[in-house]
Amino acid sequence: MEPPLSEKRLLCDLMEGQTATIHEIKPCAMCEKLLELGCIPGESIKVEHIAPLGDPIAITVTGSCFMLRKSDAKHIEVMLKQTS
Amino acid sequence: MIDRPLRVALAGNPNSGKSSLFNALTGLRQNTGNFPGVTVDKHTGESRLADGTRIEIIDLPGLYSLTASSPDEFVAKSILTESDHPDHPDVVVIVIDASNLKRNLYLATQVLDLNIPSVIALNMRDTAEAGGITVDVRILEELLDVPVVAIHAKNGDGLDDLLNRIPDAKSPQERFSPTGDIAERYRRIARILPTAQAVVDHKQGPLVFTRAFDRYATHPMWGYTLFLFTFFLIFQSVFTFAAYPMDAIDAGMAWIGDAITTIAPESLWISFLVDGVLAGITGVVIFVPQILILFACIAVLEESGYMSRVSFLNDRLLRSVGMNGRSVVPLVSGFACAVPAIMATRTIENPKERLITLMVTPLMSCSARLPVYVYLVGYLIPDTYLFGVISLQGLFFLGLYMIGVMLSAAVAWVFNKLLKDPTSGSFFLELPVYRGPRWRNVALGSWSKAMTFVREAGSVILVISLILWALGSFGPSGTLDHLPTHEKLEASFAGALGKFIEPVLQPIGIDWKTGIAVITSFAAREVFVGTMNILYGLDGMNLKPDYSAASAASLLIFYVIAMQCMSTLAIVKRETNGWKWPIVMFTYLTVLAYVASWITFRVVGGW
Repeated sequence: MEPPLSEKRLLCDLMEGQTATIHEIKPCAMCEKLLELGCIPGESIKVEHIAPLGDPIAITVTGSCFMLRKSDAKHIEVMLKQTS
Repeated sequence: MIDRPLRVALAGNPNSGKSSLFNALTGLRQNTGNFPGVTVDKHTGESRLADGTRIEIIDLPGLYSLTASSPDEFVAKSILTESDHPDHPDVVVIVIDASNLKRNLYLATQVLDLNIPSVIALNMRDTAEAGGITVDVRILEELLDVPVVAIHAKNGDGLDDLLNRIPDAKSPQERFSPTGDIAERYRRIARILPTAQAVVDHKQGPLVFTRAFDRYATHPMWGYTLFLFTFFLIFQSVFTFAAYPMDAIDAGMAWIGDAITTIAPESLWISFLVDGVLAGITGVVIFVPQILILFACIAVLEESGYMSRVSFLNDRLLRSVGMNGRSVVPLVSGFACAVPAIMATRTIENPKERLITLMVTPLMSCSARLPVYVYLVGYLIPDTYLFGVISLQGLFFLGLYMIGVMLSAAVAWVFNKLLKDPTSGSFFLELPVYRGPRWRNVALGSWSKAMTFVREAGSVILVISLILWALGSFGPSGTLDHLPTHEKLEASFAGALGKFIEPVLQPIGIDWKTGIAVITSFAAREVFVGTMNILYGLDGMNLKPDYSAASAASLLIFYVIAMQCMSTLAIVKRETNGWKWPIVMFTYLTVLAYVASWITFRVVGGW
């Protein structure tokens, strides 16, 4: 079966090393801040590391790496790029 | 022309090299204070333009944008946006990191749109070039319509150019982003980027090392190993290296005291000078080595970028009790000394998480408790070894430290439930590319911390030690000069106070004599041992006839918990801008200590 071209996910559900495209930032306390840091729809975002206790996560977006708590990351909807 | 110096503000992203530029421009002609009403460091300094014009430079807290969410961001934002703000600048120097032009231009163009005359300082072109990015200064200047100067803040290149261009500062003819919409601003930045910079290959350079190293730094096993090792080194440095200058200060001050008492005849004034003023000054200066060493270590970790990884590693654990990843430094430093540790809570941006960290830090057993522990544990526990290797006393010591750690978690949990959080627990932090620390920043930063402590906590410590001196030197019957030392203490106000509070201390097994030691050791915990020696004679073993094991254990627990340190209260007052939190801290720790001591006294006494 052919996998779908892209899959909608929440940023907090991505695995270490996965890259995705930002789809939407849902309204939240951090959303303006996230947008201003360059988390704008269409940008590519990569989960670089996940902390040993599963939270927080380190993401790379617009050339810089940030740590983010999963409670904030769940407001970022992404399209997962399929890797073959 | 205005008769005050031209006011220049440095604005830029965190990690853009802004502080290096500030230090390079001002050197030692800088001051650190507080912005009024908030506990945000205010760094100001002076410099001169080529024509001799004096300029006043203010280093604004780092910003990613003009949307503020933490106290230091609010300060930076209001200085820039409110033209009637007392620190509103005449000129803004916007520092941008050439290796991440896109995100840095977001803030830069926002500031340009404020219509304050500006100059852009393009920093870290070497890092950018190592990453395959070259930025064209001339084109950038044309595109942004303000002067752009390439600088190298770390080694000082381009500083003269920058100073020469400050008089040319201007605001662009047109707003960069007419609507101010986030996505629109980024679209416009994306449009100018290809012209301003040439990207050869993104993957090269320092980033490769950073990503590779981070695989270890965030690894479940290697990450914690590295973290524990690093903090063990820091702890050792503060604990061990600071001991030499501290002993020297102690000895030096004692020598001065001795010199005064041998020259001048014994009198109340000499006692005031030696036991009051000189002891008070010693009580202030004695902390300087620890502050210098701790803040130098912290600065190296911050500058190198490793500190963010420590926060990343520990955030989850500390969050469960209302703190965050940045609380690690104050908590670990607290084992050496609560004073610099509490000063270090400033790096925690979230006010609630900062306050909780600050409130539980004194529960970490600091080095001043060690003499008290040694004195009482030596009395309580026989000097024997389990299986021939494990010292029973050592195990007991470890237990005392653990009691502090576990109580701090419990207390933090309670404060977390009680306090309101306006920021809903968000926390984000950049994990910057690793780089070598800039030693100038390290030296200037720790020096300014030490000076701040002396200036702002020093006076409180001095006043309290004078009060304690008066309590020990005068009694209800007047001056006590004619009495021998141990009788002097008994007949003093401190002695009277000890007797007065005895009914309160009796339920926890402490008599009025030890009560005196509890009162005098408020100056510093280690004073306890000295006072006990005066009252009971030189050896802890002399306690035997007066002291049951239950009393000694109760006293020990009291010292694990109680807020027996005026310097900590003084620094908490400075760091929270008022007496409210030091009073809360003193009260909760004293009540907690009392209850725990009572339980200990009952349990041990019941055996």
